[in-house]
Amino acid sequence: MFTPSPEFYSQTVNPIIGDESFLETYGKLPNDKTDNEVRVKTHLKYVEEMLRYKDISHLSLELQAKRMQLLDLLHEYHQRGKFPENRSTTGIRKPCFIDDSGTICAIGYLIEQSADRDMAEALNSEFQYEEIFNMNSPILEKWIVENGFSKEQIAIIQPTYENWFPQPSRNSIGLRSGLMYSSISNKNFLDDVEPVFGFVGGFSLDHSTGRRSYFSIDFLYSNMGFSSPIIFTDELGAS
Amino acid sequence: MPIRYGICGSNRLSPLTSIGISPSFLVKATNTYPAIDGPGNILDEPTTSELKNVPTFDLSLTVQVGVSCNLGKYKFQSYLELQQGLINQTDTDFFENSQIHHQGISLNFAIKHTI
Repeated sequence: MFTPSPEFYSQTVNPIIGDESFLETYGKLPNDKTDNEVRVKTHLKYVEEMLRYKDISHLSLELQAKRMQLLDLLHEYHQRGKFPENRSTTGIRKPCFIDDSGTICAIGYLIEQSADRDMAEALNSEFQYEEIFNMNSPILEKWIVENGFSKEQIAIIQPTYENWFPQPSRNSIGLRSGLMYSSISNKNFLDDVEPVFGFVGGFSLDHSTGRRSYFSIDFLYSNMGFSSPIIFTDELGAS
Repeated sequence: MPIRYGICGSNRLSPLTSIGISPSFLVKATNTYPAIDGPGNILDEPTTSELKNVPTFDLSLTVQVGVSCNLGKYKFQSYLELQQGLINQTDTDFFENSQIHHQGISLNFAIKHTI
């Protein structure tokens, strides 16, 4: 049986069952080259089938019907293939209830279709990047029970969305150019040396050392000059 | 060659700041000195290289402050960079007893691609 480590779950598509869906479907675990959309879609499809085959004979016929209706909606949702973007600054995969452009997650979609968008928006405003088990919301609990699910089953449905998985792209290369206003200290001594504008340009290499921090080295050329009508006219070029 | 340690957010529009040191090497230095005759007429303006007469290395502190627009694998950045030279730019032939340091402020635009 597949028994991943706790660290593994921090970057899996679901905090409860991890990447079980991908492993079962493709026979291997996803890696950093795996398309996020494929992972989410694979997970939702897998979970839909898993929940359809659960024994629900203990539920009333009404709840069974509601549950099946939600699973049909889940099918519709993953077929549509439009998933939210995780723009949290955590650096790890997280659920995202509704993203900044209004794209809704799977659970949000089920709530929107079976209750209303306002309820999904209300949950989003309080728990945008939270996992289901961390959402302490009476209206959510009520909705889950009224539709024939358990909280664990809803948590199993909820995907996480790509942020930086499994490692961020750590390096970048760039071009920079600019204008430089240059001067010298000790103007009392050289009071007729005027500050000048110069050009600076070159390329830079960045290496991320964390989610926000980086080291950078630039290779620049700058051209500037100090001039004096009395003392000298001087051009300096440095790199 | 500025070497910096910086912080930059990952939101679409994020502030950036960094601090570092910037070793630099002088590759060209010329002096144009007019030759003047008795009445004060400029006869010629010869340009000579001063590379051997001035310090060719400088080390400065550098600080950057700006914003970064993060669009997928591309970053568009605009920032101000302040530089303060740490090494005296004078020598025995050139104002030996004075302390003269380079200072600079530059407005930069950069485009970076994540690889």
